Amino acid sequence: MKGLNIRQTEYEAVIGLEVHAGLAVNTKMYCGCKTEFGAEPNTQCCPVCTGMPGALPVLNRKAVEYAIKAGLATNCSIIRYSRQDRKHYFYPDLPKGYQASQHNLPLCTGGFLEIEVNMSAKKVGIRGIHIEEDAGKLIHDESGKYSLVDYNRSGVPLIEIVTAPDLGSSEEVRAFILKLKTILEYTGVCDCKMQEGSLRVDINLSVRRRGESTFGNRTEIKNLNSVRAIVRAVEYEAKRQAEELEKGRSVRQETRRWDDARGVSYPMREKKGADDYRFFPDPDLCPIVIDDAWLNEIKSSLPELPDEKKKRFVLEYKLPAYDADFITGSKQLSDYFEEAAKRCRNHRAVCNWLMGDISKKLNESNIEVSDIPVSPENLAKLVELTDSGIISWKIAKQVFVVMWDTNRDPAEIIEEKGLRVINDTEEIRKVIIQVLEENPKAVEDIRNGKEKTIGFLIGQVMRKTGGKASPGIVNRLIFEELERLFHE
Amino acid sequence: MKNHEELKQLTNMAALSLSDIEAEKLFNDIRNISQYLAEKLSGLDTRNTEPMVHVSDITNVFRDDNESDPLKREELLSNAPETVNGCFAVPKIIEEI
Ligand SMILES: [Zn+2]
Repeated sequence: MKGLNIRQTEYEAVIGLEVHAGLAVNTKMYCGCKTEFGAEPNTQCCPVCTGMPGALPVLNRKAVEYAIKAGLATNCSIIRYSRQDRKHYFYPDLPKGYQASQHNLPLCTGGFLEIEVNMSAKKVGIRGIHIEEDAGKLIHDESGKYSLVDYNRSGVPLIEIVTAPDLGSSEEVRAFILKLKTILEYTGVCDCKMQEGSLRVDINLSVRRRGESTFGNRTEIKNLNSVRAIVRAVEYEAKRQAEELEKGRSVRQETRRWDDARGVSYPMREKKGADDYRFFPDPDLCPIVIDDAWLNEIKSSLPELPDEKKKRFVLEYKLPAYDADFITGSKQLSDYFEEAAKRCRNHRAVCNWLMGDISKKLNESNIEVSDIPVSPENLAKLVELTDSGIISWKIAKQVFVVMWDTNRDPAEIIEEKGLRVINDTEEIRKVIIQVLEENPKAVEDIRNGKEKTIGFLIGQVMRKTGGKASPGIVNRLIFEELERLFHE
Repeated sequence: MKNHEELKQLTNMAALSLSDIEAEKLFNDIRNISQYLAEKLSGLDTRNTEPMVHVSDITNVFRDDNESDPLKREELLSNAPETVNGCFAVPKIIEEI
């Protein structure tokens, strides 16, 4: 599909998302089975989560609280009387023949998130957040005769976050997902390990001529589990639909699947009547009533959210907005920053380490912020040692490399390796005299007005002292010694 | 129920297959029952009745987020017609939902 770039056409995309987030709770929605990822098939199951006749589900209170937390953190109203409904369809990964979900009275409604794309802010509406149980997992049998079902995931608590169709481009979709991810991580509602499927996204997308107010036919692309795949699928699908319209055809309202390897979406086989879920209130599950006391308790358990934290970092630590945004983009990174910042005076330096060498190391070694081998205490010490002139900036970088491998106290490393800045004037003077003696040609050049050569001599002095000589002293003394030579 | 087409849709969704005789009988039954209900309901005065949101007036039945023992896998799988590698084996599914 070459040629058409939707940005340059008269078409615009209208995009809404449904985000399924696995809640970071220990047990399933309606039973005490574990939710741990990666266990042996069918070892985290019981009569409730495999839909055995007569089993009675009992709702996990924490799942409700986490859903409400997510709602509060995304500016939703919390409903005071909520209900769970059965959503019916037949599929082998759904042992009861229905999924316990919420249809008319979801826990949270009417919220929004603010995103920023190309320096402009935009409010993205959130229609609602509801709780529902996950389905089991189908594994394809190598013999090709069967499909195999593992019910470990069956009944795992999810929230589904439904946005308004307020997104207009892949950049906006990306910014929204990242923002939502940060908020879910901050609140501890979801661990957002996308590779483990704890955040899955359905995309609803249509295109229309710019400025039109009616919607075109939309397609739904199901079950994307990486930011990259989401962005690519949005771009592909917007382009595909625009090209259909351009050719005078219409877009079929359908469900599609994204093939990430081939980079294309394709229509899924539709089952007749499959969209009739015959919702009704689940008689096994009692309504949820949220009173002021409970709601206030949940409110007070909310941590500081990314937007607030960003503002505070700018005010309190005097970080530039861009840096504050970067640091607060991850809860773990901002915690690390604060741990280090409260132990030293130069907060900008801590931020620079995190955005520079540490981020680079993280990318190279593909590890999480929580696994940074250098403790915040030791990073703070390194910043103090550099700031107080005990080591140079260049030496600090060397010390950091050792710290990354060993997490040792930087002061120890400096002493052991003798990296302390040489402030001893006489010691430095000796080295300078030696360098001047060894480089008569350079001295001659300087005498003849080639002042740039002084830089070369300073370099030689730094080399002889292993970069440890205090640059200020070297600068002063080298002029003194040259003057002396020239007047001899 | 207006016609057999509607019944067919209903039985499809419920994954039931009926013979023509069964379908005819069921069609008549459902039509009679729904007509009876419709008559009863239309005769009721609901002007002062609150809409019912749920059959139960019990609310907030919860459990704490504590683990309990799962079923042993052999036991879990003991009713399954076929099992492979600790999984329930079902007829091959071509397309995922
Ligand atoms: Zn269970």
